[in-house]
Amino acid sequence: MNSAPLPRWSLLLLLTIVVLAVVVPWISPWNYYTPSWDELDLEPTFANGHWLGTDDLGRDLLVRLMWGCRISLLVAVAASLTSLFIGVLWGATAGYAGGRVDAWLMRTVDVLYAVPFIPFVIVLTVLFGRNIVLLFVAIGAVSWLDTARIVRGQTLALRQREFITAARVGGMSAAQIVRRHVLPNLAGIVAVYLTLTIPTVILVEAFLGYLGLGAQAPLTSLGVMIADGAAQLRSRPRLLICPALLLALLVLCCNRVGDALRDRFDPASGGGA
Amino acid sequence: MLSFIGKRLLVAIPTLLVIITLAFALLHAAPGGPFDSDKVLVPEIRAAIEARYHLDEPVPMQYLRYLGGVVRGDFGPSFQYQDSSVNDLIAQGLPIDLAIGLLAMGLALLIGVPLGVVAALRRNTVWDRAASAIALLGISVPTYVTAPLLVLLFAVSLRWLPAGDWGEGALRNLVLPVVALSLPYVAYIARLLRASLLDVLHTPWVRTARAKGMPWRTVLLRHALRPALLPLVAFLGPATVGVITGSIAIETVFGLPGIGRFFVDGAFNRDYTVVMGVTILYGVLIVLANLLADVVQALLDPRMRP
Amino acid sequence: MIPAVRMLCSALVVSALALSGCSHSSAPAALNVVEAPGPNVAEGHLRRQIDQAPRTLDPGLSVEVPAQRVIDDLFEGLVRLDPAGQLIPALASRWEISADQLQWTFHLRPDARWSDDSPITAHDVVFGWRRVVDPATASQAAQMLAPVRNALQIAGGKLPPDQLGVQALDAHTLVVHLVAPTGWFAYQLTNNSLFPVPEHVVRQHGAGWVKPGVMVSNGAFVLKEARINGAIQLVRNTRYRDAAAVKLQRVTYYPVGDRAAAVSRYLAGDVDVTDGFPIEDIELLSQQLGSQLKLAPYLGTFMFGLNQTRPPFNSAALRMALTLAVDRDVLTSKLLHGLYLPAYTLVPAYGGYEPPLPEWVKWTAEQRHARARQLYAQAGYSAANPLQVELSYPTSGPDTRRVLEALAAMWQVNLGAEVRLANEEWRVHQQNRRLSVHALFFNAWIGDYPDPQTFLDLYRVGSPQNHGKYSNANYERLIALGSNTGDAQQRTQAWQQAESQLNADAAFIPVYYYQSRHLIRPWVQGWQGNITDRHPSRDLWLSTQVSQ
Repeated sequence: MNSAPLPRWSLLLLLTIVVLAVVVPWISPWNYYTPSWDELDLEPTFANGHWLGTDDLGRDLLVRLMWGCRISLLVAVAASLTSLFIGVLWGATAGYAGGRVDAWLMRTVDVLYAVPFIPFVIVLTVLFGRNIVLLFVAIGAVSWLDTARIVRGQTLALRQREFITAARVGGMSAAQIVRRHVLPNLAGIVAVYLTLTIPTVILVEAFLGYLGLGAQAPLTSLGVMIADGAAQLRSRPRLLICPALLLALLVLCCNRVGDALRDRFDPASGGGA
Repeated sequence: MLSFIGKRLLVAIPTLLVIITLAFALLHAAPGGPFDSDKVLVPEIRAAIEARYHLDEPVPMQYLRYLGGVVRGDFGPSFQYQDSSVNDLIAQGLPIDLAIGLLAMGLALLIGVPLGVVAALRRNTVWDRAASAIALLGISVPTYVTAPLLVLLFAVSLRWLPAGDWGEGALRNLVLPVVALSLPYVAYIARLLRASLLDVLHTPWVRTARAKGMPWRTVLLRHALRPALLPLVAFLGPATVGVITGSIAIETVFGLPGIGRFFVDGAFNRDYTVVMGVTILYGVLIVLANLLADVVQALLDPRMRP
Repeated sequence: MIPAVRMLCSALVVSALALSGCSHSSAPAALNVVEAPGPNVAEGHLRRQIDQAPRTLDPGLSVEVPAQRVIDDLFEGLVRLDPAGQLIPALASRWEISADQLQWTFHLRPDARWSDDSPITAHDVVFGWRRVVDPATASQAAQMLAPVRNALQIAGGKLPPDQLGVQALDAHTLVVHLVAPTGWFAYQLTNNSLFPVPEHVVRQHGAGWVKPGVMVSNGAFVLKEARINGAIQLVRNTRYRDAAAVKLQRVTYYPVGDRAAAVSRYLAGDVDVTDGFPIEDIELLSQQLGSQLKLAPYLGTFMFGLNQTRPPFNSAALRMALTLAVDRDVLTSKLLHGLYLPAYTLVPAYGGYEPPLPEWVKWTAEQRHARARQLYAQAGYSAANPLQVELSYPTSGPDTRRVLEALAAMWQVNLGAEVRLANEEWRVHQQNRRLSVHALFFNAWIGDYPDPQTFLDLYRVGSPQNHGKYSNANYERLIALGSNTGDAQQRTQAWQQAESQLNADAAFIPVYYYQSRHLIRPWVQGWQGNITDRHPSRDLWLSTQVSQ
């Protein structure tokens, strides 16, 4: 661990988005669900108090955007955690243990890649009802496979490196070696891959709506707003640009933070290079 | 190496069997059958149709019957596309997705790899930021947004290219879907490469090579790039399979007759045989692609030889 | 540049990209809409977009609306609909109906030929119909033949197909025996499942007989090339019985499922006719394209079903309260941009049928809401004890969802009822609906033929569509009366009284009637809006002369 400079602006922006997502729905005079038939498709002005305008049901876009942001952030966090815990552990175990364990673990990953996602989610909803936790399970289930494969490959390469051999000869247990020497060396690539998973799962969540899962209308999410906005991008580009811009901002900030984390974990680099 | 490949191919058979079993079980556990529709069938007619497709048999029976067909290379009739077999559907759709998918992956590599290398070599500079931002654009805007935007710009406004249709694979019909499909992969490729290249650039042997006065070009090409490609290769295996088995968004927007739509429509319509057929195809490709990726990794880095 | 600014810049690139695409379409001048006809016009080549790729082109198997467009070009039945939607003779030049209305005799044109030059005989019709009801064919269209004697028994496997009530007296005379006087049977004949199929080709090629190069047909066009989910190309059938009247040389159908993409195809000049456009774009498009937008009332109703066998909707007062609390005109004018029409009854009005409107249609919104609240209270609900219920719907994109969000809000505001939206995957929803699992559910119906019977049948006891289990003896009596009478006027009266009964019982909640919508290039001639929204290409032609 070293002292690479933190991406202050990105962290600040990320924090601002999170705070806004929590606070705006609270303090806004509008809610996310009541249509207002006299205020359809208002352009944003300060005078009408709708800073991002209203949607085609006359609902305040800012409030809806922030509600959507809440849901999508939760989805992103859940997917990242699954990817981090299951994916990294799975891949590191397979890569370090090798042999039979590796074969079993990685063939399982092959199987999970190939199992069709749509019936899987449908069966989940049927078995457990419509439940927000399920949303995270479904998304988590698909988001860790790539991580596992990447981590396994890296671990396999690391295993042969001199310092690991030295540690092994020095009498360290496998678990210790993985924790002290393997995982820190994986952090960089994992951090970067995680940040790439975030936009993907936020968009997958919108698709889950078609399977009876996901945010129930009138509640919404960034992914659903983008998908809906895309359908009317000719007539109301604002409905697409607002959520798309917010998602792009989130992704850029997360990636800057991911890069910074990578730099901090990089055992060889001396901070700012 | 050969025995390794042989062993893996042997393991592929039980792997596929597990895939088939799981997929079959999931499909049949999902509520609603292929003959549920808005216009509800009279119960007797429904029963007669289901009997015709052996859907009245117990599921284990159906499973064995299906496996028997698969062994003979017969993936059964489609319930939805009543005058086609699943074999026909796949034979018709796969070439289209292969063409578009492989071209898109090639394009993504062509753009993504240089972006990643520049970002890593010029780390934390404006170049790095610009390269990353360009790469990330592709991933934060979903395909179902970029594809219609490309159509609006290049087909509707400028009229340079057609707004859709396969057009028997003419180049002008391929351009827009290939570009739209490649964009998200540019981000993955550039970002993964940047990260792993940075890892490699700080390893002792690269530093030694640099210290000996070897020029960056040589160090990069001879020493750094090979190990840096490992995570990318691990990612590319499944990603390529995903891209050549069809993208529903691309196929819908551009009206392409690929298998992505068969698969998704099939899943929504409980067209069991179609979903199973595509799943098996996907499974075979995944097993092969992951094997290939492992072999390439071993060739790139001798320490990974099994 | 500080990082945040840089980030903002790249974010702006996203929006600039988005805007560059949009500004082109929001400024009509920049849109560059082709007004000059392409080379296809001189070639007599019509290019049509359809919503969905036909899953099969077999007239005996297909049950889909988009496929019917293609099949209407390829095949022809005993009768057909003219551009205005009126019934006219086709393969049959005339027909007689027996005094008891149970026996119909059709006289086929002796000169009609299949595209392989073999004659079309009454046996081809008999073969086609038997094939549809034969369980071995597994056709979902089998119930379209329900009015024909023994059809359902054969489809259920209880009788052999040759027991079907249809016979060829000679090569050109066909006799059909019906179960009951079925006043609308002639309309039913326009459905593709009752088209003749070439017996000699089907016997030779089996299921593959509809493939390009094999298919033999009798319509104005023949199949040249087809790819599932891809373009379908038809060329003029020189052996069509009325070939002289067909002006087009070629027709190509492009299946595009995404409505916005379909509009792009149209604006890019790739197609001449679309089967729709996104509701949201109506103002923009009518501004840009003006008279190229064609709207017409369509034989379809969007409604909600209510399960009447158990609480809460076994209460007629509550059902009525819910239906009164819906502000249909607000919904259709504001949210749906006038594209659909407010519905107060089951059957949409069309030439020849005027549905009976309930009395409250004339009330003011305040009167309606007051009465709704009164009934709501009468059913035992109040602010302290609000109705809490799930509204189940299948996910089909934002259009429907927005309507449901608006309705739930209306019930909340006007009554205080808490209606939660619960979406289900399509087939899950269909199964749950079939098993009558839902209390309050999405329902929509597109009529099979222009007769109220196709709608009224939904609420009959024992109908497979009666998911809410509505049951009323008077209604049953009226339906039986309408089905068994040979007198057209008496039948219409029975239908109207049956509708009034449904309205009085609030058997369902009507919301809006559909309208068909198309984009049509000015050089496409002969197009007329009609209630069935069928527009066979044989009645269309391409000309740069001013439309009549």
